[in-house]
Amino acid sequence: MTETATRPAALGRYEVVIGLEVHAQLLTRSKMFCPCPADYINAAPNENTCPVCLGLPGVLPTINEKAVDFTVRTALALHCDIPPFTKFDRKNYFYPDLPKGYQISQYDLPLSLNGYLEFPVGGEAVRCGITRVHLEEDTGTMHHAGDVLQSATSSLIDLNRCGVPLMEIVGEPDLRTPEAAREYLVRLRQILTYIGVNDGNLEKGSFRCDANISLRTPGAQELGVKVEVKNMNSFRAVQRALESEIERQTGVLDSGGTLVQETRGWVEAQGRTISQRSKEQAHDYRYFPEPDLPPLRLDAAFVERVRATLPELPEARARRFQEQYGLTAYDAAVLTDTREEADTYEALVAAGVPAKLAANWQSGDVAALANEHHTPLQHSGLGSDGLASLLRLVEAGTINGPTAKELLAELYVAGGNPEALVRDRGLAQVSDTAELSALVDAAIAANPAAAADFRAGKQQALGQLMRAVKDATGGKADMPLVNRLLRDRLSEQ
Amino acid sequence: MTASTITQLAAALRDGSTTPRALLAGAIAHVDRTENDLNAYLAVTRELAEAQADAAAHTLEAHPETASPLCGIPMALKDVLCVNGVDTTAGSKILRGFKPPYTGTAVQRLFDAGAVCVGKTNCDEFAMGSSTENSAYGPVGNPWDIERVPGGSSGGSAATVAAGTVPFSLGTDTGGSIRQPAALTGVVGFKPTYGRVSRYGLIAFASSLDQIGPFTRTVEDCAMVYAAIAGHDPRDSTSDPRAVDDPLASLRAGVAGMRLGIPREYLGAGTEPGVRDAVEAAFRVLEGLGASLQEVSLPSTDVALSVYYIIAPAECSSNLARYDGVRFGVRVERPSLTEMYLQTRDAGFGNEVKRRVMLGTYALSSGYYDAYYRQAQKVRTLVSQEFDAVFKNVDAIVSPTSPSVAFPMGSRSDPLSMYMCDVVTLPANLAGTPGISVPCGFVDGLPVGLQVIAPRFEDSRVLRVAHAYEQATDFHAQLSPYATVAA
Amino acid sequence: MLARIGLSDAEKDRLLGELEAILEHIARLQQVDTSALAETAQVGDLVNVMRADVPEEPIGAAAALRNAPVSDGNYFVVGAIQGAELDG
Ligand SMILES: [Zn+2]
Repeated sequence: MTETATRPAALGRYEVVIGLEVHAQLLTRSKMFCPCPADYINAAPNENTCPVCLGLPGVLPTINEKAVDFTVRTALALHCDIPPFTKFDRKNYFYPDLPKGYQISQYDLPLSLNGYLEFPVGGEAVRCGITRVHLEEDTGTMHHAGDVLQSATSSLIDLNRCGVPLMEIVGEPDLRTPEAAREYLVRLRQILTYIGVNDGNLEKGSFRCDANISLRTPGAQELGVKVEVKNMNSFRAVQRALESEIERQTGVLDSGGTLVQETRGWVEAQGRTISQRSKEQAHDYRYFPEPDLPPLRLDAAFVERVRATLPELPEARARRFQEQYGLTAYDAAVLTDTREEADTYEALVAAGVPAKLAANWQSGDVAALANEHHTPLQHSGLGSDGLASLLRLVEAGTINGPTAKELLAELYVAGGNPEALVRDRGLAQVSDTAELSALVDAAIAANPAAAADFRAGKQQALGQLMRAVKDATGGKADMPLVNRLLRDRLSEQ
Repeated sequence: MTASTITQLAAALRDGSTTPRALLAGAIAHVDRTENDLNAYLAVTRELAEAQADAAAHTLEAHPETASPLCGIPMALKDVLCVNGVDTTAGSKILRGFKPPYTGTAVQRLFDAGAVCVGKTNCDEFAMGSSTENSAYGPVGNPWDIERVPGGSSGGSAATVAAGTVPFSLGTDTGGSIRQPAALTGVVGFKPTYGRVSRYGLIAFASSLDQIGPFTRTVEDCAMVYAAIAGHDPRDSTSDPRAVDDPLASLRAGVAGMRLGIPREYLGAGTEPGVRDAVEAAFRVLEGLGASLQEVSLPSTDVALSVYYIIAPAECSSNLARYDGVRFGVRVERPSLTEMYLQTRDAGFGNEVKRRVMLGTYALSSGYYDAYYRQAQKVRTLVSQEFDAVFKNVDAIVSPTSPSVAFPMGSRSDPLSMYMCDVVTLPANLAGTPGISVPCGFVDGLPVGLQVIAPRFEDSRVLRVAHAYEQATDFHAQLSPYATVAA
Repeated sequence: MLARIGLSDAEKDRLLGELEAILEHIARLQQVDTSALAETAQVGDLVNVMRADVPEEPIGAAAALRNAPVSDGNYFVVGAIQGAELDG
């Protein structure tokens, strides 16, 4: 028991072992094994189908080259090996959303093997192995009359999604906390969207996750009884489902019970998992090589060609941002969160906006506006070119900070040319020393009490004087200059 | 025009002595006269045929020189080949009423050439069988003796050519399903190299073995139909992109100087004496034409049957999973989904299909996969290697096509004895080589076939040997009683 | 059972008898020494047969549903799925 005692309390009496399986739809234009459009969401039911994805008698599959390319791209981003020989296999089972009665997938010779994903959790680096990344086809979708599966009298089948390229990323059971599991998914999604192979939408199901979780006595070599958890459609749901499952399994073990190997579904509304299928009902998928598709031999030249299309990955880009632009680790991470965000940042800098200024505005006011309007900068009225010219006006001292903020908010929605607007509305900052000196004198004259207080050592009294000058310029005064002029004048006597 | 060849009809169409409509009318009249006895057709596609005949007439008038030799020629298609909007049942109850929304590649190529589709022919259910007795729509009579089977599974396509209704038809060959019925009905039947003819639109039985090919009255006709349907198809990933050499160019080159091998195992104890005599006489004819014959050995022939009866059922168990009553075909309505699946498939499939689906499911299931499926895949390699070794010493193999002549209906109720029908044809499917059957004699009025097999992609060589033999004999010119029934 | 064919007991007995005989015949396969042999999943030497990612016009729901035994609007319809039937 000493071993247990020495472990961090948060881990409890058992060691948690979590492995994640992610299914990610690939952003190809056509389906995996037929040329139907892969966009299944915007089509009426069964509209995007053909004899091949309907599984009609006599049809044959053909491999979408882009899907292979995307899978290899993913595998390379996850540091996987790409074996020289790979093939497709049939996974046989009956279900109405699987028209052929088998799914074309990969069994013993997947497209890639042995990778890893590294990411920080609570300031500590975690490395999770990637067992394999393979390619398969998605199934159709089913709607159950009344939406309650168990009591439905019939089910409606839509095969638009059937045959959409699906990549399965199988992680090693290297994760030890629900938080790490969540972080793994956040990172994985970031990479997939970065390299442009997946849109990362958990809600719509283009990025799906199943978890395997078991508990064991700390230090034990073999794994405990494994439970598969499904139906989690947000990062938060994954974390909560795993927490709830740890609690449930701990309860069973503590009360001397035994766990059964099973599949459980997360029920968001109830905040718990419920049993769906026990091990006895597990399938015999009778995998065998797909006779309709010749195998793939991806030579080094192919792999290198794909590697050349890989963009700089988020981690490397964040490191470079710190070095090249002198950003803090935090700013660099925020600005490389998505590829679009990082591209915008570099576009601002390239357009002459100083690195620090660009970072502050992009991760501050711009991010807030994007959030508020649910519109990223690229799709806003302003655009990144507009933001660059606005920030150049700030940097040149043409407009002051508050004016820039107001303009930003307005142009974000309405669009327009910042330079023209500043000119037309006369928003340029007042920074003429003579003009401001006169206004400073007037402010002191109009607020003698405040001036006296300041002279007596009351620093806050300066605020009232500053406001007076600002108001006199309609908010356009160069405030740092006003501050200096006031102090100079008040210390003269 | 009954029992004419494509070559003869193509000439008649061009010299004005007939028209596509007249040929079609003759073919349909002949179907009407013979169908009661033969049951060779599952559907006569009159409307489609009339439209095609009219289009062909137009083409022949506008471009008589460049029109394909198949233009305006009536033909029939085995009912495992999909035609847009035309009932396609694969001889199964489960597909009753199924109208594919597309046309398969090989068929489309014939349509493009101007051939006229008279109808869909009867066959063993999902092409599983060697007698066409496994059709859900009744057996097919052999035009030489309607009490006997025409062979299978492409029995209807063989019988309709043997009955002189159409000069050519398409069948499919997974273990001998073109060659064996060709032999049993006295016509030419050719299985091209695997990968030469697109399988797109062919209702799959065993994907790694299936191949489409023609039935004709002569080898020359066979070469013409083959030339029309062969070639790469991007819709079939297993179709080969290599250019197809023109089989007509070398057709008349003869066999002088050719080395022909006779596999000892193909004339084993199961061979009927009459068949053996006919085939040995054919060997002497070939020798007389200048070929040198030698005995060769394919030691794994016997075990190849076992390989075939694991791989074909394994693939079919998966290929037939799509017949679930959901998107097409016949459904037995039940409140629960599982019951619907079970009852639909029980009612929809016949005995042989159930047997093979169960056998294949078993061979692939965990615990048996290594001993059955994997072992079969390895022995399949051995079968191919033995062919490769033999083809180092000979240019082609000659043998009987079937150990027996046409047998009486109902005489082979034991599945194993039926499986033995394919023992000398299925090795070519396992190895993917081309093979042909050409008429080589009769035993008590029943036809015997000579099989010729060559290395992969040597389809032209197969046709060349068969043609040389055919031209030296007149067995192909003898007509079945149904081909001589007067109008 | 994996093949998803609902057989009557009599049918089952007959089929199993036949399958046993077939399996017994096939068993001779086990005697072949295959230690030095690779597996043949398909004949030929084709590899890397792929198509470009270019969408084509689908056939549409009306054509897709034309052969359906039961359909409702744009959907295929099947009976209720009971708990144990989930995922097949
Ligand atoms: Zn499709």
